[in-house]
Amino acid sequence: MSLTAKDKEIVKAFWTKLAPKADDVGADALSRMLAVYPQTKTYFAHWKDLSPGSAPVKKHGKTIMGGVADAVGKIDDLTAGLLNLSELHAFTLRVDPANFKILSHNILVVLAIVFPNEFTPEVHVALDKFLGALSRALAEKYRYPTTRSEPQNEQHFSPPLSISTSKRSSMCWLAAVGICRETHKGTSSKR
Amino acid sequence: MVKWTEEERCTIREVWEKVDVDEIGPQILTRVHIVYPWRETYFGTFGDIFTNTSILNNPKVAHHGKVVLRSIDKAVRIMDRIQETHAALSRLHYECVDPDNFKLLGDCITISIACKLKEALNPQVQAVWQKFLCAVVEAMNSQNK
Repeated sequence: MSLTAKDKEIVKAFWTKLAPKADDVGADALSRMLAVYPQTKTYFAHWKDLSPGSAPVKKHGKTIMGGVADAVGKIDDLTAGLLNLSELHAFTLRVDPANFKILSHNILVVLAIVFPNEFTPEVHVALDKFLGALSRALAEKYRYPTTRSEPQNEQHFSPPLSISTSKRSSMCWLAAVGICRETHKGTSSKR
Repeated sequence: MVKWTEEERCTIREVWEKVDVDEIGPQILTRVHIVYPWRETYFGTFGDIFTNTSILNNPKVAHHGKVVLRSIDKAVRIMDRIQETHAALSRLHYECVDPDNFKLLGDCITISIACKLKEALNPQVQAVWQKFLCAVVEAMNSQNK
């Protein structure tokens, strides 16, 4: 689902209204994500305070919306424009891309609260598509060969250290299944 | 069975008291059809739902939105037996509707309620409301197992 010219126009027009409140929107969206989907707290275990409106949450909310602002400016080619951010999330932060959708939903909830009249279904769909495209651009580098010399037909996976041992074990198992499936591609198999 | 604290029950009821089914019901379903247009596949008998204008003016869309919210009303009133009270609805949708659609509907319900309640839907209230919606979605998928 690529963005049409009308989608981009709607996103840019809405951003001009949103920009002055972007920091507050980011902080509120992040607060909600942590409160409503507590599994996302795992990525912020190093913060002293994860409560809604705390200093680290406000600071990171501002960082997130800075990234969204950047994406609005690069809306014509999000994949190329967000390559560095994708590498950061893929190799350093190691965020499961499923969480991008969770944060996107909470950004939309905050926009509905702050702009109840302007957040029409037409604006909603354009922003939902934009945040979806942004999320896909962020996930671009997740299964990309790195600058290390590696055979391109192998998948390498090392779970982040902040995840519990049991979760890393199951993630390694899932990765192993993925590699087995890749190796046996084209071979019929029954469950 | 989902367990509710007394505080959670109060929170859900307080949210629901502010929801006018006749006002919000149509908004939810028009939002769903516009934001997730592939859902049109389930509403072949609704007539013209192929443009935003036709969706916004379609009386069957508006009516079905109210039907959806009346089932949520039932879940609010009988919170301890959501699976039981929604079993028949789950059977009705079984094998007809992709279960992921209930989650999309839930997201649109939250956003429509956010437009109405504004700051009253704070993060703590949203967390409880999300727990309730997850229970309803699970009940709607119960007959798929």
